[in-house]
Amino acid sequence: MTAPAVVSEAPGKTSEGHIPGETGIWVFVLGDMTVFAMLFAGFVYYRAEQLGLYLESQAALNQTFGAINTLLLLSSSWFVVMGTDAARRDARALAQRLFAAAFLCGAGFGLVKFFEYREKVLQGLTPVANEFYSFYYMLTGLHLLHVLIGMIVLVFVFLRARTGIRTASDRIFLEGSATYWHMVDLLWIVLFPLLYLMK
Amino acid sequence: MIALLRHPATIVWLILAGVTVFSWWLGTDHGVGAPIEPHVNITTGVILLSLVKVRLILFHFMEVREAPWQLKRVCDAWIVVVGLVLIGLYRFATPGN
Repeated sequence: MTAPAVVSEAPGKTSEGHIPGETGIWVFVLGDMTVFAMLFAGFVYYRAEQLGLYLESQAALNQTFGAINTLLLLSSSWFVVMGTDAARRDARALAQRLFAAAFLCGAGFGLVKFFEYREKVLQGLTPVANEFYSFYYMLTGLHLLHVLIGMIVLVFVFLRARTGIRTASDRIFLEGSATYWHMVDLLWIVLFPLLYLMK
Repeated sequence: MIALLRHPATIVWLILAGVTVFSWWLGTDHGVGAPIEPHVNITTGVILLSLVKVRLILFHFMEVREAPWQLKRVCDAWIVVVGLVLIGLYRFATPGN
């Protein structure tokens, strides 16, 4: 019986597949995704009990802000994919610029959220206004916290990109960080239609 | 710059952006009829589209496509279970749907 063929010399990569980062990151990511999934399910469940209130409250949401935020996060993920690619090819300056662009998209997202929250609060729609708004602030707030953490992570990725990927630890850090950032994008992808578009 | 755009991830981005704009258009009030009325099939479609986007992100941005089959299965299972629960609750637990 012959040994399985090894596809590349990158650690962890065999013909059976490559886990981006390491297993631990995926345990965290899938766990976090599951926590959000339960919050989403809770939202849809409670919505069913006060449909009129939820529909009426949703009508005040700014769907354009929501769509812009979706496009910002999708773009930031593209920048992270390209940055990861550049870092792997040792195109360090390019990698740094791409990660910087991803960071700016994240900052753009935060800025839109600031204006959106401000608009809501000025309309008297605070987290205690009603059950829909409690969910709205809790879900988007928890997500925003993830975005802010991701932005801090991107700063470290940007700094590390200067010296390049030289060790397994560098690779794990780069891929793990990218995985986390894409997760933040992924969560918003589900959140946006549930809060803003669901009728 | 052009070389960057030729990357497969760019096609994925275009699809994701296109689906986003389409979903947003679908889900936005078009002023026809009472805007407070629920639109069951449109919303179901919007939720399904969001899960298609999730799969694209997982498999193409997060590199699950090149991951061991166990991780692929777990990711697909998450998508299926979340889809069933959210659409199930929406269609069957929501009054009037």
